Amino acid sequence: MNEQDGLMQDIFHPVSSRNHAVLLLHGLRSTPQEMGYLARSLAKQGFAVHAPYLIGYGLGSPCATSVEWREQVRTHYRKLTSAYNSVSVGGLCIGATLALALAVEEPELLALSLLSVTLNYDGWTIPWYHWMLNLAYKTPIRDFYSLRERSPYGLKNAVLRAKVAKSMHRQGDSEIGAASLSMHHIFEARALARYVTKNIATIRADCLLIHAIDDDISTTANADLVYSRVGSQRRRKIFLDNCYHVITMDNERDLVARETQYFFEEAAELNPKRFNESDVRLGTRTPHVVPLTYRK
Amino acid sequence: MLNNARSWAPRGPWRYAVALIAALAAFGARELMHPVLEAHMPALFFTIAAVLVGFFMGIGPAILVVAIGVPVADYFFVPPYANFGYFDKEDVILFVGFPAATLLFLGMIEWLRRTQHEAKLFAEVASSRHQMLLRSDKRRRKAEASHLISDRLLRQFTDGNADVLYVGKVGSSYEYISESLHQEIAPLEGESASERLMATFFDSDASTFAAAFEQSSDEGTRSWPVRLPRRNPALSDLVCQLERFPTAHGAYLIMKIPSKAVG
Repeated sequence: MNEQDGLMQDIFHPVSSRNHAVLLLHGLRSTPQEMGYLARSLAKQGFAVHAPYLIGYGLGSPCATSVEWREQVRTHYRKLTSAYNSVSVGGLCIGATLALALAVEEPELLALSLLSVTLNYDGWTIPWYHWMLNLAYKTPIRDFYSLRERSPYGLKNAVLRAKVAKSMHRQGDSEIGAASLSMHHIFEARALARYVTKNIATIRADCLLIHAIDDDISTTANADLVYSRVGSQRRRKIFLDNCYHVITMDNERDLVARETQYFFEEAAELNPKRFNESDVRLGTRTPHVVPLTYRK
Repeated sequence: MLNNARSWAPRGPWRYAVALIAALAAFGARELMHPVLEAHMPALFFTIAAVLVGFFMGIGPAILVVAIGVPVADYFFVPPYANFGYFDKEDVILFVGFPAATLLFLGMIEWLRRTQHEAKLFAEVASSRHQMLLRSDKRRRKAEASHLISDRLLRQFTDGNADVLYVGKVGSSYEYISESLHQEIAPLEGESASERLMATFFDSDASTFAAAFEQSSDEGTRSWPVRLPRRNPALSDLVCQLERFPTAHGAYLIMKIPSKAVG
């Protein structure tokens, strides 16, 4: 197994003392490892945690369509719902957008933790001509152009950034993802964002939004947009100032993990009715095969 | 200053359409006022339009207003009218003075708007941190209340059971020691009950006791037999049961005489 294969491994902590599972979705062209700290923290607090590698979306596999990304996420979600009483979902960057898309399709979803949610690439490292890429995608440029990751790589922590930069230069990828983003990926991410923006008012799951004010990939306008348009009754927005985009690994990762844990715990306490409803619905669903590893 | 402070303005190409409309309105207003103003202040309305656009739409669309305003003002409102061929002092003042003054205003507006946006973002961070602090405090108070209840329950439990000799909480100064055990163990001045117990136990049991206290992972309830030497050498050792109970609020060690069921 080479280094990249290691990064692409799923993270899975199946034991849950709460009977509450959390599905964690990594960022575009990235790996589950960027959710590793959050996964370990939640697992320590009694949540079952699954951070799967998504094929055609994550690092090292050719780009699939956003519809296929959504289907994969839904499959993982349904596996968890069949094995645990309640399931919450967390996501970083486009992973958060995928979590929103899942909440559109699965109305009984309990709670969402949307970390650095990205509907528009508008942070300070995004080139000024980024808005023209939709036009460029309709030309052969789409097969040649790619948006290169550049310093600070979403990290304010200088030591971590230096480690990631070294890995990026040496092998073209790191635990935070690939050194570049192809136009196909950008185009599919935009299609996903359009889908979410169109349906966002239908989302009823509790929403926690955590965003860095100096995010280099997406500004707080993304979190504001979700916060103001989402149909959830229970919403919480947290802005941080000592980190950049990859908040699950950067300086304030402890705080991100703690607030996510609190939010999911509170969601479970405040929504016992939704648990019961979801159980009824699950019972009427078409049965699907659940691997043994998912069983408690 | 925050890098994202620059993103205070609304987004999208529609801002440039607004700038074009503002430039057109400025031209219309100046044209209406032309009989009064004649050749005076040819770019006044373009400056006003640029400042307004700069304040609401950002510096990019405002520069577009300036770029449109300079040639339009020169052509229509600087004599000789409708003629670009003639160039004199008035034209130089317009071409240099209007953009320089307006860009200075725009630069200052942009700087103030960025500073304002940065202040708003920091205010949001402060608000978030305050809310987090309140939530943490609420949880701390809840945990504290739960801890007090646990201690009260333990007191209730030990008061009614003579078989319970010792109760200690791992990582806490809370310790209960029964009167009978107090009489038996080493009378070390100023030392805690656990330290006095350790000094009284045989070496192997003292190690067991210390290990039970130090265990960090909560592996469920565990128990060990221990022997306590009596003060009176004529009496045989007291055989006790040492049990460790992990709870949500920390682990407890209970030492009791196993002959009767406790609790």
